[in-house]
Amino acid sequence: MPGLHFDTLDRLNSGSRVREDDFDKSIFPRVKELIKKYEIKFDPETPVPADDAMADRLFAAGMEYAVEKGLWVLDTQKVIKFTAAEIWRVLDNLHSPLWFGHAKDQVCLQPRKPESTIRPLVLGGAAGSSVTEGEIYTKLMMGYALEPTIDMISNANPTFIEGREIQPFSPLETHGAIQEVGWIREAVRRSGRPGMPLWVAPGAAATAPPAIAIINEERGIRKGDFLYAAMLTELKIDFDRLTRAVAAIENEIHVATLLAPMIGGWAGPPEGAAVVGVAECILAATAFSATIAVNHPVIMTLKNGATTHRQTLWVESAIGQAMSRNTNFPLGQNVFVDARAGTREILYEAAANAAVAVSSGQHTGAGPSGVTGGDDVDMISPMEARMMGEVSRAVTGMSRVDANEIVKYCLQQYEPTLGHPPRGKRYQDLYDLECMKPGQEWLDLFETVKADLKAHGVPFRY
Amino acid sequence: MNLNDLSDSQQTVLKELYQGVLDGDEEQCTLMAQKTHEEGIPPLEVIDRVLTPALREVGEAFNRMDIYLPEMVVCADAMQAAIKVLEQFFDKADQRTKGTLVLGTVKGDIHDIGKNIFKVLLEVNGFKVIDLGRDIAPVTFIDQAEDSGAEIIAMSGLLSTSLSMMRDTIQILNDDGIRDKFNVIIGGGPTSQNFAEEIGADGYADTAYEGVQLCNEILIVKA
Repeated sequence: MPGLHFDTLDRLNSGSRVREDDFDKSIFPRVKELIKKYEIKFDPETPVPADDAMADRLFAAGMEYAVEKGLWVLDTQKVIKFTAAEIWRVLDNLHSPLWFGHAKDQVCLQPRKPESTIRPLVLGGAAGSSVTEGEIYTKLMMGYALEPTIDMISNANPTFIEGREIQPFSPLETHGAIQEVGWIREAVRRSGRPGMPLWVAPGAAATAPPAIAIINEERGIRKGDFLYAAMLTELKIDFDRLTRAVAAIENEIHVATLLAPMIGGWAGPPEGAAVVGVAECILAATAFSATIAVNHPVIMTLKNGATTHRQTLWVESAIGQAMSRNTNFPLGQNVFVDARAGTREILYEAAANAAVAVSSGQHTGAGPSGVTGGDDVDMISPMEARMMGEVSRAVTGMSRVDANEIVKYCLQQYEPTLGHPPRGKRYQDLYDLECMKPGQEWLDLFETVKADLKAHGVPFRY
Repeated sequence: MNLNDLSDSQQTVLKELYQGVLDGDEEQCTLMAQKTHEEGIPPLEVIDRVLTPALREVGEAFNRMDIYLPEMVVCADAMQAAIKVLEQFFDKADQRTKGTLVLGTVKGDIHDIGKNIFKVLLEVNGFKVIDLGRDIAPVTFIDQAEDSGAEIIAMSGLLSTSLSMMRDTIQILNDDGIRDKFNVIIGGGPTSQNFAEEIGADGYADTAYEGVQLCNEILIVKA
């Protein structure tokens, strides 16, 4: 059986050792050749390119590189490779459509293409964002579940568990992960969406055992839910994440993997990140037997992993188009924002990313979120997920040319503050958490931005 | 040494060495470094007048994203090739480094690209870096810092769970009564200036470039 069982597992310790340095340093020289060979070109004025020929050339570049380069295994320092035939044996036999969740909350994942009218799935959540444990965490999850445009729900990152700081590899990690999923389960029930599918990489846990401990039909992640098993940048995998994938698959849970090609890193420029990103998607589908990959390009200059930089938007769109035009392997576009809740900038960031994702043949989310910690706690709210979801619905079927204009307008609104965004406010200061409604000030700002977006081409239906 | 006092051939050699660094040409740098000795130019002058400014230019280009990490690494490797040649001609008293850092991604975290970028920038700016890699326990940072005589412990992480590891490292230093032996700096996605102050770190940097400037401020260049 091609894929995780057992091609990947068999090859993890085969072949000769490759030094990590050598693996990393060899990426850019080869990728430069592929960029030239396949004429891949980043245009800063076109974050959403509408060039089918370039999208197909990018796919070809990524496939050539995937077969040639393979994946470096952290634990064995070996490289595993797949032939093109093996890869196509996986990609050609992916099952779709797929259904997740239960009863009225069941959703359908269908392959999309650029400009597709097929409904994209929208995944709301705050993975990476630090949130106060317990009721605040639960109410944040309720906030996502109460948004009708949100189809699936992802986690946040609790800062403490039972008032205690979480240490990696400690038993508290496992306790924390189990509690966390319990809060999400409670949240969807209390919001009247008990059948909503969950998509979890426990924020309380950095390691595999707690991620696996949350597999539980009653109060954890269930059959048909998703467990994250990310790839490492660039083109690397490890036993920890593969272990999560094995546990997920053998418990009838989907694997969501993640790729984060870095602009400015080993892949070099945006074009390089796009080529490496396509290679990572292809290898993720094969090596992890993943159901979906989350597309999360990053740029060296934004430390919180925001996906809303002009260059990352282009890379997202390019990868999304390349993959969706040439395979049925679905991609979700991670939405990581730079600004914080309560600001106009975060709403424009969410809108821009949603427009890129949907017009480029992807699904939207998880997000909007951002890597926060320390004193930056609870600075995220469901309102930006509302924007992400409503824009996703509104631009379904929109041409890439029109989406590009919307994205460029959004960039004008937030690009000047990228890297040093406005501070924002906490969730509990923006919402009335007793009755679970946004405060008037935040709601007014949302409506103002929404009206502005509508005036600039977003055909909101409501 | 006044550059204007140099002969034409000396100036040519220095210019070609400078360009060799910018081009990331190890062969050129090796050749030209040898020629500086043949031309009678003191090795420390070569480092101060040519290699350091060349690398500064490379670092600034990287910070502007005019060049990328792989290109900067190639330039740094070319510089190291030149230094390797020049080291043969140092007096012991000439050998110097700005300072030594023990660097790593903390326990439970395997994200290391930011740390790797920081390492390269530090080395091109004259620091000695002991890179411990990823998933490093607090006691390992401390033990390696003690064994190497490092002045700075630099910790990186991307996951929110990494914050507790940074806090633990400083706590252990305090408990062992050796906090004053080291400067401790932090960086990475979930970190912040406020968090650095909260845990008693000596500094925080938002970017790798700022991290180098922080290290320059913390340490005094040894003569």
